[in-house]
Amino acid sequence: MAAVLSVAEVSKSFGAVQALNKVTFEANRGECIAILGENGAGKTSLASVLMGLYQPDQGQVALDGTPCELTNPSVALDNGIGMIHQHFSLVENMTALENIQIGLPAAKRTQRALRDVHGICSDFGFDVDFSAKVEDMPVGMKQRVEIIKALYRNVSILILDEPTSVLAPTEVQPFLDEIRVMVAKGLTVLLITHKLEEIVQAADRVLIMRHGRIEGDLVVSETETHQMSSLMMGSGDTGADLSQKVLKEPGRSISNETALALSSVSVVTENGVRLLDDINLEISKGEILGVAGIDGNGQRELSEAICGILEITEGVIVLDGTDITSQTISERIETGIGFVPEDRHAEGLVLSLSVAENTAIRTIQDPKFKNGGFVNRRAITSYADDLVAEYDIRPGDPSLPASALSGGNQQKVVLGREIETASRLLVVVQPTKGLDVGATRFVQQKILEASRRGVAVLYISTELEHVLEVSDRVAVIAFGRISGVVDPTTTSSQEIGMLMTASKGE
Amino acid sequence: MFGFDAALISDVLASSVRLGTPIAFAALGGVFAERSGTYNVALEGGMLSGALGAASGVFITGSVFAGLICGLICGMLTGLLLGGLVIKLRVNQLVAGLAVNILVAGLTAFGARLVFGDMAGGARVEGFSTMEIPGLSSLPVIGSAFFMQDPLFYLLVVVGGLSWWWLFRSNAGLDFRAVGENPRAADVAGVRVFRMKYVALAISGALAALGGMHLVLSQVYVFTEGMSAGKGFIALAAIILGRWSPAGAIAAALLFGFFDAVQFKLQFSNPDVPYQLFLILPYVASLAALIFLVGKTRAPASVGTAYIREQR
Repeated sequence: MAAVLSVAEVSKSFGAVQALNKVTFEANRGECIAILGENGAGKTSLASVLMGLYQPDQGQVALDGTPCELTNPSVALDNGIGMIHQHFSLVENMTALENIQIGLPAAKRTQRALRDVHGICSDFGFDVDFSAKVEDMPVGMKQRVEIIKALYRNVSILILDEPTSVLAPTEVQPFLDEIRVMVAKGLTVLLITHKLEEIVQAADRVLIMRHGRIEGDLVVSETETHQMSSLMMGSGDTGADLSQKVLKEPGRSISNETALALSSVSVVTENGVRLLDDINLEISKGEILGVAGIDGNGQRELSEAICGILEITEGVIVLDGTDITSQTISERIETGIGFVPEDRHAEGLVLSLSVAENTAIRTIQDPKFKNGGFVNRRAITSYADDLVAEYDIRPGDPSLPASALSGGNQQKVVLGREIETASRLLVVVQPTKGLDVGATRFVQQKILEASRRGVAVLYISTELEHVLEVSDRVAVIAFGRISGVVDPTTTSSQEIGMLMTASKGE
Repeated sequence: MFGFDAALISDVLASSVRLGTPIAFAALGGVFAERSGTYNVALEGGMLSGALGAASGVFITGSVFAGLICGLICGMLTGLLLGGLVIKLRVNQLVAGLAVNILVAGLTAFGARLVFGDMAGGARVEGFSTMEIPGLSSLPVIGSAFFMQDPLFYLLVVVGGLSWWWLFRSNAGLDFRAVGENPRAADVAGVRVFRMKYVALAISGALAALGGMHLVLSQVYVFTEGMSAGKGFIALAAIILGRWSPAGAIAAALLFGFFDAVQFKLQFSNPDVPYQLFLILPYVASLAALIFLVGKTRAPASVGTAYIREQR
């Protein structure tokens, strides 16, 4: 029997970037294949080719042995290929049932046909409220809607793009179990991920990608995880290096001088919604306080309240004994607060400006960047040169526009700039979002270095693993409240999972 | 000033409907465009091209029906031109819309000289006359306003109803709205996003053209340069006020028509007051309505942005 899917010598480039380089593999019925790789390794590009979103420059895709031209997403769907994107492809202000119907032929939209949707739900044990609007749903349910949408179209190949990145730790295991149920029912699942433990739990085979090539096509049960990671990182890195995760020196001493103190801080919207609800936190000099939580529980508001972007309704914020509650953003920057926002494209950088301009943009009032009343270009360039060298930003030319850099290097620009600004406090939000393992480690090391100089660090992230790695203490945020503060060396993911979902009043 | 009397109210209502109908057609066209994700700032141009198309069609063939078809085609072409600019070439939608307006203003002025020659601006054409709906037209107050109008008004009502049904009750309408909200979601679900967007702008242009044709075929029976006189822009406000629904947009357009009618009445009854003051009324009303009456409903999420399939 021919393979359900066979990809032969597929290449795709974007300008000078070779996103896919002669990719070849096969997938069978009832098999889960993990696709592992760093950012920019070509995982998502490969998926986009299979979905008909990108047209390959060369090569061929065959389904059940028949060559197929996947010219657009509807052709891919007609051929039984469905994909769940990292960012859901759902229309927010429509109901689940409406979303499922979009693009279907009339015969599948009758009341009678739609009854099958409920059948799919009970088959796979999904719990979905079909009359609810998608915008009112929790993330886990949106993901189920996406999967049902695909299954109702009778897909035989389901591509999942980093599906667990949006889930709470307690939701991950049930989700991986559901993947096994789908595979047992004969589906072919392509699981794009960079989490090795998920591959071990859910996948039969793993394709390891690097620089657009397939570096390995291995059977998961016969492969050690460090072998996967060394293939993913390339020959320069050994797998052993990566699994070594202890970044902070154990038992490091932290001064008992308080740097940042938030007392009874609340942010209430005009409609009475409490985005932040009675937050009390203290960070000592040189301490890294991690903030863990499911996305959208007040992390963003907390960071913005501290940095002065969001005005607080109640409470007091004190930094090194000075009340900064009513200070403006620029005053806070001068005081020595560095801020790495979550969205580096929208908030961290001006993509059309050069790297050099971006490094100076937050502190352009600094006398060192001024020459009389004018901007001192030379000072900016030399400052940027130093930053580029120290943070190993590539390509190492600060006159390039920020948009020319890869995501990891863009993050280094923001991080470098903010760490230099942060003489007292560094607030980082999702600093490793979308970064590969190497860049993540680098970023974390730089943050640790800052803390060693006595800078207090607030490390906000939904990547629990990373929070636990770097933090001295971890506060868990849920529904705008701090539901608990735990010691990362002694806590368990169950404990944190409970705190993350702790509702008010508990 | 004048007191309350039924005849006067009836008269004002009738002229409200007449003055509001062109705006209503354009606003309905705008609803289609925005529901598909495109701001159609070129509604004004659509109206003008429809007006010239209809006038020349009737002038050359002598048939009102031929004029109607000719106007519709001109409107669709205007819509598709905007489509080519914003969907294919991804020009900023507001800039492209304004550019089309300026282009159409020039082309129609030129076209009018070509078609009507020396008579330009004075060539009277055949048009529609009032069609009374027996029975209903004798209703007090509203009878003459809603049941003693020209055929294009009845067409507006029918098209408005069909539009509502198509957008909110049909399968294709669901796909169509999905395109405007989240084109990628629609695309991966198998909807032909680009085709939908072009179709939307063709419909949008045709509806705007109907607005312009109402001016020529039902109101003044002559084409003059720039005769749409900003109605296409008031229609843009009517779309928002009508919350992107066909019925809402038509109602909002008729409301603006009402203020226009009141403005005329006030002009005639107060000859001492500079008439420019009254001319402001419809625009103040549209501003005020936008500020005070707009609720929580938001614009279709993707409106104003170009959809790029191979975006990394």
